[in-house]
Amino acid sequence: MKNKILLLTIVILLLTGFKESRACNICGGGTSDIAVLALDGRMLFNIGFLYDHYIGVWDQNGNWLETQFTANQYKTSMAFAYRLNKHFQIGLTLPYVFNTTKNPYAKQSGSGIGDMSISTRYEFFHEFQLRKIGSKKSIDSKTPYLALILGLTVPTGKSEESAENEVDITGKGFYSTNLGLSVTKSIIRSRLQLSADLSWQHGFSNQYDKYFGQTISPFTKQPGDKINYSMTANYIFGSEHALALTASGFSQGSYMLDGKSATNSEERNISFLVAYTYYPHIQFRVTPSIKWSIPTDNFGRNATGSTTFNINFTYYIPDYSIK
Amino acid sequence: MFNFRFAGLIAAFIIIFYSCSNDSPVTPNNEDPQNSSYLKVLTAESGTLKFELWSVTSNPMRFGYNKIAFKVFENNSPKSNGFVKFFPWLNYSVPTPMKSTPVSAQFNFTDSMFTGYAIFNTITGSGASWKGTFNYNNQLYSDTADFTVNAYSAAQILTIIDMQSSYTYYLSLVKPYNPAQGFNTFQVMLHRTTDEVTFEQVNNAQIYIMPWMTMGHGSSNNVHPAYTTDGIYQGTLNFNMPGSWTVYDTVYHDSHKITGNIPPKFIFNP
Repeated sequence: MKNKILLLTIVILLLTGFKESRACNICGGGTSDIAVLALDGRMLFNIGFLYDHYIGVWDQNGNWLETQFTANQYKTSMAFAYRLNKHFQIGLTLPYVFNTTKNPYAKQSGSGIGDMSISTRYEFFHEFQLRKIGSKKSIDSKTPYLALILGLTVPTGKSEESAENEVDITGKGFYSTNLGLSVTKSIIRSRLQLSADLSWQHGFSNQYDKYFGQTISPFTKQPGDKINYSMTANYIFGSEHALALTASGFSQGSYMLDGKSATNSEERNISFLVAYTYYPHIQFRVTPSIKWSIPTDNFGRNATGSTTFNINFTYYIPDYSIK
Repeated sequence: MFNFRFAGLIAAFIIIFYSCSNDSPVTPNNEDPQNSSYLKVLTAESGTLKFELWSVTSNPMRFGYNKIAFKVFENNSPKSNGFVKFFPWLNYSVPTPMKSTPVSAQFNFTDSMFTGYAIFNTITGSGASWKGTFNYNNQLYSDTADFTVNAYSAAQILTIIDMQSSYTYYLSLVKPYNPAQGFNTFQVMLHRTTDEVTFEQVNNAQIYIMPWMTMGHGSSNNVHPAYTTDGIYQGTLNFNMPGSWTVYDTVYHDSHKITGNIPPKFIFNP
């Protein structure tokens, strides 16, 4: 009965959030979170489907402005992760992006491969590991999970440099690297976990000789450095269900145009996510999620707001010999 | 039980992914201050001669582009051919070199009036007031008339100083004044002067636009303004998002670029 109520709640949440959301084509669609392996997983394959419904922007003063045109982004992401040993895992994600707009005077749809992201994760500690103190072995219930993350996004998608219309944009158009820390601590073992992620993202300069397919006087653009952060509470129901609530955001410095800082171009945004994970089998999980922005003044600046529905199907191959 | 739950979950997402949202089509913004009715601004009389100044744009007239027209009467009989010339100038409370502003070289008779434009580059106030004289066919002249030019924040005039030719150019926005999200008709006029008294309408320049948003991107399918008629260059602006847009304008005239490395810009907030 409890499980049925939980499922019904999730479905209602998904359906009620739907009518108000729209997607952001101009922002590209390359990256997505890398699938992460648990300690007993050797490798995983993930396929994710994302629907992003763009609803508006926060301007340079943090005022919320609603869009007049519906724009959606659909994304299918294939991800793969492999654990080399107890401390080190690598992952790769490649999305395929499909954009639509209802602007009657613009091209209505476009698609293509998005930006590929590669991630490596070095795990310093895992929770509840056996620890030997003297001749005595015991479970360490104090040390949290701690990992250092290093990522690279490769601009395999089409950016506004070569795309001829907004709907043809499937990537950012520049390389970026990501350096971060991830911490997880179980408050109640096998029941309640708290996680925090903090990362620094650096985007590299790109020279534009064309813009939306038109030849222009060349210019260079470099995104500002970006700090991403998130806090998650994850509640585990028995062996089949888990519910996670996340608050996340970013703060980005001014971008550089021809080496000069662009005035008032700093960006920030806060969003929220609820994700439910269902484990129908020990090697398989399904994770639907909803991510939303609060369309009110001062919840962002120079940033887009959207509502995102996502579902991931993850199959992993365990290896209990990893130590 | 497991299959039922799993199927329900998948079904919910399929509904979400493929549902259609309500969307009313939005038409492009073609706001046209030239298509409203005329309002009478002033009457200037001199003996049996009477000039009436009418404006489509506003009464009193305002900063920036004004679509205006004249009616001319001699012995209360309206003129219906020929042309009118209008010379506005700024009168300062302290001695200052004479200053005028771009207007039609001559106002020709069309649609029951002598029609043309005036682009006011200064507003009335702070010791400055506008005066004007009018003539019909370079034969009949009015007395000087006073008129007011009000501020209008939506109007924009860009000043370009061309170091190579010593001309000062004025690039004036004709439309849009109230831009919408999506595609907008973009119209500008270009004038040049060396003395701020006589202004030449420039009809053979090349103008290139680059709309840009503060968050660091532009938009597709913009059309650079090309000369049409009556001094108007027309193109298309695509504001693909709400927010503050900067439209950089690079201008070439007399076989060289008259704008600097950082081009002058119009600001719009669709």
